[in-house]
Order: sequence, then C-alpha cells, then structure tokens
Amino acid sequence: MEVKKRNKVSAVFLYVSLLAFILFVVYTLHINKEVLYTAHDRSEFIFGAPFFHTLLSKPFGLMQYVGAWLTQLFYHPALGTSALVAIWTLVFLVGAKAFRLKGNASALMLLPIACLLTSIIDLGYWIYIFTIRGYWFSQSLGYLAMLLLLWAARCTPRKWHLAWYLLGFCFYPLLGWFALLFVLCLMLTEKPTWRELIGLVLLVITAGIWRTLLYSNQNPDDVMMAGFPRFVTPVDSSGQLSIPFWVLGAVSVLIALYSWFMSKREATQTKLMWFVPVLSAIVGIVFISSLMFRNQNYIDEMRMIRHAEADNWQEVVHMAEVNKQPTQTMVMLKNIALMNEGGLLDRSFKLGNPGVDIYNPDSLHIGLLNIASPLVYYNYGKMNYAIRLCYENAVATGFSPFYMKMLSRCACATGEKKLAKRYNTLLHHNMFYSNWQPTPITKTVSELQNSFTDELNGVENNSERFIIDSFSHSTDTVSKAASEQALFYSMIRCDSGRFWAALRKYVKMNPDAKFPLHAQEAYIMYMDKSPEEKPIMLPVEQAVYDRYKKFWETLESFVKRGLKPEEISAKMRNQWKDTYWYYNIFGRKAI
Amino acid sequence: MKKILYTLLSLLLFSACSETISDARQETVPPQIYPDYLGVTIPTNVAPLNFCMADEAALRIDAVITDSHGHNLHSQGRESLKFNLNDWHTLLSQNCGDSLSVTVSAKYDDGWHTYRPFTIYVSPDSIDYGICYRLIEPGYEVWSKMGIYERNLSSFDERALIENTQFEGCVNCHSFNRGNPADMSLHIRGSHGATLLRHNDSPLTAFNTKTSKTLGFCVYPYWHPSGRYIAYSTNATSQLFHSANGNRIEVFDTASDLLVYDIDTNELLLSPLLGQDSIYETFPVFSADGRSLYYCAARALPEGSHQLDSIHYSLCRIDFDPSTGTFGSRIDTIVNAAARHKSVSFPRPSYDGRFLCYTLSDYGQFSIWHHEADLYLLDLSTGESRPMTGANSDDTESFHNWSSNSRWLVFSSRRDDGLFTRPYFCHIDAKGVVGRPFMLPQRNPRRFYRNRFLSFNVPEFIIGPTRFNGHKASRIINDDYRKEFGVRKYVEH
Repeated sequence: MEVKKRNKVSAVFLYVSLLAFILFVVYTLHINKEVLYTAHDRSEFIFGAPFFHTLLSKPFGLMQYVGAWLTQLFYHPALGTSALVAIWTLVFLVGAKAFRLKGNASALMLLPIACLLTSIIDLGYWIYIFTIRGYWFSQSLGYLAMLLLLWAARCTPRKWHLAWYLLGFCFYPLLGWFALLFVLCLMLTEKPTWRELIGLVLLVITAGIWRTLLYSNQNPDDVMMAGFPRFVTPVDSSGQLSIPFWVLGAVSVLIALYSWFMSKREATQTKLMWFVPVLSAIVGIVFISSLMFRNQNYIDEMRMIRHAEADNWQEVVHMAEVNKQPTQTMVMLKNIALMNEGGLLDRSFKLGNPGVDIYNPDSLHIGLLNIASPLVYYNYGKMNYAIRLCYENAVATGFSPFYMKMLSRCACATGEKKLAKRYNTLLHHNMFYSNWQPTPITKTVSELQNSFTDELNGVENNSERFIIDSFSHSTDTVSKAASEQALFYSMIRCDSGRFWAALRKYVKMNPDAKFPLHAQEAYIMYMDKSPEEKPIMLPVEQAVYDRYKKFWETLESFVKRGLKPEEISAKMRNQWKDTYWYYNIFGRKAI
Repeated sequence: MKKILYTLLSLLLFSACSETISDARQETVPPQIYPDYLGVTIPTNVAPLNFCMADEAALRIDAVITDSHGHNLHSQGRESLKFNLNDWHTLLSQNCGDSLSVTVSAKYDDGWHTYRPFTIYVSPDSIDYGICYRLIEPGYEVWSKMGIYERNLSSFDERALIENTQFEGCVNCHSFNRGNPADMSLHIRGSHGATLLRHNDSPLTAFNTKTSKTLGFCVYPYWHPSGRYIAYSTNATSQLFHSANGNRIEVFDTASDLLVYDIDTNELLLSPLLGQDSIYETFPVFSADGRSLYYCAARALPEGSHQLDSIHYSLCRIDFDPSTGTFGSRIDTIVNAAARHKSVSFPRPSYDGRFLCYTLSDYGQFSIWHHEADLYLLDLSTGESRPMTGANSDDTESFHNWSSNSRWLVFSSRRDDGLFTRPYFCHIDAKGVVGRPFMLPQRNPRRFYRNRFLSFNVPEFIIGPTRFNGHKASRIINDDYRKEFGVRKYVEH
C-alpha cells in the first residue's frame, strides 16, 4: 500500500516537472521566435549537388546538410520550433530507452535537452557572423542519432559490443563527435572488460585514422572532434558558446555511469527517485536561463530588419517610436523609414539620434556592417557598395536568403538581369521562396541611385561613418531626395560648413516645401553660433525660436551652477531630447 | 538465356528513363541551350558537351548527334543531357576535321518541340590533357575556402591540388612551363606565405621571394622555355571601389618592377630598365624562343594621384640572353596602347612563335573587373593586332593561355552572367582564324555553374596530371623554413 502511494507521488513529481519544463521550453522558444526567423534568414542552404558535396567533404557534413535543410523551416518560426521540439521529444524517449532510465529517472533526459535548447538561444550577435552550416538542427539530430545507436547497441548481447565500437568508428564521418560520444557512453554502461579497452583505443585513434584515410585536405581542427561547434572568426572567438556542448557530453557520460550504477541497485531505485524530476527540471531551467542571450534591442533590431526587408516602413517607424534606446542599426533603419514615409527632417531627432551600443558581452567586432549594411546601402541607392557588402558577408557566412534577396534586388536595380535571374532561381528552390520576386526598386531609391557621381572609395569597417560622410558631401545634387539626405547628414555631422551648403541646395530643390522643424532648429542654432558671412535668410516659427532661447537659458544656468556636462545632459534630457540642439550639444557620438 | 534477360532488363530500364518523341512541333530556329554550344569548334579529345535548355521550363531534353558517315549518338534527360563518355569519344575520333549535326528536342507543358539542327565542328587539333585553375568565391577583400584544382579535359574528373583548409592563408599564381607540371610554381599568401617551386620534377621547395633589394614578393610568374628562368613582377597593389560605375572595383599598382629568377644560381636578375620608378612594369613573359621578354608598361601616376583612368599600359619588349642571364639595353614598344588611351594586360605569346594574345581594356591592368576588356591577337610576323571577334563577347574577357600545340586558347570570361568567371576554349588555326569558343564542359552544366558561387581564376593548360602531393605541400607550407632568393648585381651595358 505504501509502495503504491510512493509510486503515485513519484509519478506526480515526474509529470509536474515535465510539464513545468515543457512550458518553460515553449515560452523560451516563443520569446526567441524573431531569433529563429533570423536563423533561417542568415543560414545557407543551396539546392543542388555542389552544396551537398561541399558539406559532405567534411566529417559530420551530412548532419549539417540535413540541419541546413531543416533550418528553412524557421521561415515560419512555429513550424521550425515544432520540428525541433519533435526531435527533442524523441531525444527524451529514445534517451530513456538507451540509458535504461526507468520511471522518474527518465527525467534526467531533460538535461541534454536543456543543453540543446541553450545552444540555440545563447548565440547573441554571433548569429550574424558564425560560419557553422546547419547549426540550428545538426547537433540535435546528431545527438538523436547517437542515442538511437546506443539503444540499438544495448539491445544486443554484450559480446556484440565490440562490433558496435567498430561501427562507432565507421560512423565517424557521419556523426563526428557524437560517434565518439556513442562509443564512450556504451563503454561506460557496462563493467569494463577487454572489449571496452579496445573501445577506448578506438576512441583515441578514430579521428586521426579518418583524417589520414579521407580528410587529409582538411584542417586537423575540423577533423578532430568533427562537428563539435567552435565559434571562431578571423577576429573573434568564444569559448562560452561551446559550454552547452561540453555539458551535453558530460551529462551523457554521467547518465551512462548512473545507468550502470543503478542497474545494480534496482531495489533502492524507486526510493531515491522522487527528487530526480524536480532537480532535473530546475537545473535545466536554471542552465537555460543563465546562458540565454537576453536583450530587447537584439530582438527589436531583428524585427526591424525583417520589416525593412519587406519595405514595411510604417512598422519600422512604429518600432522606432516605441523603442527609446535604439541601436545604431535601428537608428539607420528608422531614418530610412522616415525618408520613405516622409518627415525625416521633422521627426528624426524626436525619435532619437544616435543609437546606443549593442549589448555585446563577448566584445565581438560587430556592427551595422554585419547586421544590416547591404539593406541600408541598397535603400540609400548605393548599389555597388550594397553588392560588395553582400558578397563580403556572404563569402564569410554563407549565401543565405538574406544575402540572396539583397543581391537579387541590387541586380534588378543595376539592370544585371542574368545575375538577378540566377539569384531568383536559386531562391526559388528554397522551400518557402518558390514564388519570391524582388520588390521593384522604389522611386526614392532609384532617384538616390542616379544622383551620385562616381568616385573611388571604400567602405571599411565603419559603414555608418561612410554613409554620413558621403551624404553630407553630396551637396552638389539635382535630386530632391539626395538634397534632403545631404542636409540631414550635415546636421548629424554637426558640421556648420556643410550645413549651410546643404541648406542652400535643399531650399533650391524644394522651393515650395515647408521649412522642416529640425532644419529650423539647426538653422537658428548655426545662425546664432556659426553664421555665414552672407547668410541665407529664411523665416522660422516664433515658437521654435522662443524654445531655442529657453534651451540656452537653461543650459547656461546649469553651466553657471558648475555642473558637469554629463549631469547637465541628464537634467536636460527629458525636456529637450526631442530637439536638434540637444543632439548637437549632448547627443552626438563619435561613430 | 542470360543475354536475353540482360537485353530485356536494359530495354525495360531504357524505356523507363527515356520518352519517345511524338507529335513534336518543328521549330524553325535553333534551340537556346546552356551552355551555348551552337557552332563551336571542339578538339577531338574533349569531354562530352552535355547541355540543358537555357530556360528552366523544359521538362525533358533530347538530342541526337549525327555525322556524315551515318553514325549517331543519342541522349535524353530531365534537366541535362548526359552523353556516354566512350560513345562520345568514339564519335569524335570518327569525325576529325568534320562537322556533327545536333538535333535537339525539348518537352514543355504543351508537348515536344524539335529545333533546327546546329553544327559542332571537330578540329583535328587535339587539346592538352587538362587545365589547372583556382576556384574562389568572388569576394572583394574577404575570402573563404579556395583551392587550386586540376581538371582532365577528356572527362569530368576534377582533383584538388591544394586547398586553404590545410593551412591559414590563400593560394594563387600557379604556373607551369608550357603546361609541363614537372616545372611548377605556386604562391601561398598569409601567415604561411611562400612560393613553392618544383623544377624538373624535383621535390617542392618553399621560397621567400621578398628581398631587401626588391619591392616585395614575386608575382605573375612565367617560365623560360629552357626551364632555367622564371620571370616575375613585384608589385605594390591596392584596390578601391567605384561608388557608381558598372566596373565596381579597381585593383591597381602604385609601383611595380620586373625581375627574372635564375633557378640554377638561386639569384634574381635585375635590370635598371625594368625597375624604373617612373614606369609601372608588370606581366612579364618570355618569347617562344626565350630570347625576349614581353611585358606591360605604363607611365607611373604622380604620388597621391588617384587618376586611375589615366594609367595605360603598352606592350613592350626587351632582349634577354639566356646563356648569360642578361638583358638588352633597349626597350621596344610593340603595341602602343597608351597612345590610343587603351591598356594592355596579360600578354601571352603562342609557343610556336606566331602570335601573341593579350587583353585590351580602357585603362589599368586588372582587366577581369573591366566589362569592356576583350582579347586581341598580335601577329608577331607582321606586327599587326586585331580583336579576336570570334572569341570576344559583350562582357569581360581577361586571363588566357595557349595549349602546348598553340592551337587552343583557354581564356576567362564573365559572359555567362557578368560576375562569375568561367573558362572558355577557342581554336586558333595557323592563319589566326578564331573558332567559336565553348565553355568548359560539365556533367550537368546548370547545376555545376549555377549552383556554385565560385569563379575560375587563372586557367592554365597542363600536358599531364600534376602529380602534386597536397598533403606533402601543406607540411612544407606549415613548416617555418623558407629558402631565400639571392640577388645578382646589375650588369651594366
């Protein structure tokens, strides 16, 4: 009777823990749905044999290929998530069988799942620069395959294990480090004998032999522990992102040991098991929570890029209105949105210039260049640079849908029909892009594109600075759109010389237009502080002029009180942050 | 009994894979196929010219190749034709110096269409064993995986000589002595930078080609016919990007000199005439008899100037005495392109001494990024140049090289899509008549060319397999040892 009751309580603990963990997983995936969409947008999958053969030339390549194919599903994050959850459910069920975890002990399989989930939500800005193909699914698939092998192996008599160790060796090209993990786990689930000794030897020499046999043209690092994710670019590296995989391996080994240990103590098993589900769920949740990359700007930036890609500028402006501390990429996209929606010179400083630094705990060398530069350059009509940036980024990280779409749009804009057709055809083989067509170039972008005279230059790492400089220099234009940009970016530069030249051109190009608010603010300020010898006389609104006087009175009063610039900035922020004056004195930042 | 069974099985398989063409609409125009093989001249030993319909709407494609002797070769496929390799070579060997007629049918949603037949001319001149090239994604500053590959031209076999997965850096400038891989040179760039040299099939040696008396590393190698010398240029190269121009990038030199490396004495041979500060000298090549050095030369820009469109290279020549390793005292201008505000790059004399092929563009020396760049043929007996109209296209033609029998030219062109460089081959007969070129054949050309983001760099003929051991080469590259180039003092005339 007591045993029955204890079992019942144990089952309750198990189901409650599982439910809590599942709810947490669903919640985590839900708040990361924008990350998952971006995962598909920045992951390379190219239909056809060449891409397949390229991946297959490395160990673990097949898993990466299948992973890359499945990553397309994140086009609809819910669909991709379902596929991922299905794989993890199988991991749980097969893992329990493979490690012979009975009853509440099966909850231990939540720990590997926690590691796999963590590995896809801890990336942060690495999502834009890492080069591992099929990353989002390949590790989960590899681990599932490993568990299936382990299950099959443990269903066979002990004397067959030697054959399984050899099979693990043979599976190395397919499963990479999971083949080694399989051999290790199988070894540890039984009492050591001479067979396990052979297994150990195989474990040590497998990668070396395969490198000699099949992968001699590969970097040794890519063959040893093949498929184990390493986060390295020519300028950045991260050991932290590999933690979930080290933990995954360690947890699997510990579960294997536990399985062996418990197989001898059947009687004590049920007594001790009640706390395992609770502990597993808590440890899993804590592990996920502590390593998850959480930053609202990171998510908002992705959403903004998605809307900008779709030319949904209204939504971009809306997001800019809501987000009070946008990143530099968001500020750029907001200004493009205002250019398209109208009101750049009336609203841009109200919504905030410039942006804050991205949340970058790994100190990655990352910025607009990697995040959205082709999109920004395309919308500013700078097609050559947009194409170049697409290629530079795609060569490094893969020809993902984001770059293919941008390349196609650029090729259409420059009249390179053969190239556009090529990009489109490749995209059409992608699962969710079969009917995709590039949005025709807008009038504004076309006008900007045609307004530039050719010059030899180069976008280096600071792609924001390049835009600001090139636009603020382009006062010699016959385009209305370009004259607006020249005026705006001369204001962003806080360069009175360029402001006066740009203002003259703007007034000439827009004779009947209303004098925009921010331009009025800049005009009053430069007339006061940095006038030309023969100033251009323009009517300004009395209210703007009065507010300017009040701004300086306030500023001077704080200065007289001996406050530091940062203190003055903080005190004036609430009342004046919507003005060009505040940006000019406190807001501008070295980009 | 067994035979009958096999025949029946084959017939069954054949009927399952192949459709009978019925009620085909007869088109009065030739088919639009990819790659465009209409009217091309091919060597007898080239791999099958498999092709697809140019558009992707075709459901099936079928072709019958017939000759004047009544032989024929048939292939049908869903996307691409796949001619049987042996049958193809048999047909070509039976038709040396003759034409083949190709009848193409394609199935669309509305049924079969049969097109007006087109011809392929089979030249009796054979082509070399293969070509060697670099495959690289067309990044501008960033590179990812790349490698040097050799390809057998009679089949579709491609083999990597070396890939940069084996070391940190990039590979470029592979070069052979008239296609003979016994004499071979290869550059590695990056932290493991070196020039790998193999002479007379000797083991590879890694050299540091930079010396205190020269501008920098040696580049653009060209072997002397004797195999004793290699001509190099040494260039200070920069690049800038056009903000609004069809040509997106300019790669240019801010200084460059010429030098010749004497393998026997391990010395660089210099000449004051080939290292003038006021002149950019580049792309040196030896004449077929080895007694002259052709190269490109342009007046240097004033310091700080970025008037790149005013850099015009002409084709020049200087005597070279292979017995002493000395240079002549006079420079001849062979093609004065600068006078026409044009620019010469990549001079390549044919090995029979009849012609010299070069690329002509509007300015500069990095013609691969110039859409207007075309190939020109200089008749060395008359000194007359003419555009190779048969080989040129509306887009870029750039690097090129001769086959060992001087009857075939392999050249780089971007005509396929305007960005990705592909190798093309054209026949040039003894009179300089240029046949219609054909793109390097592939098993499935659409998948091969359209699904890969790779450009072919520096296609060079090879007369046999390179027997290059990439594993050994990577060990040499990863080792720190580099043999230094020596420098011989000027011999004044």
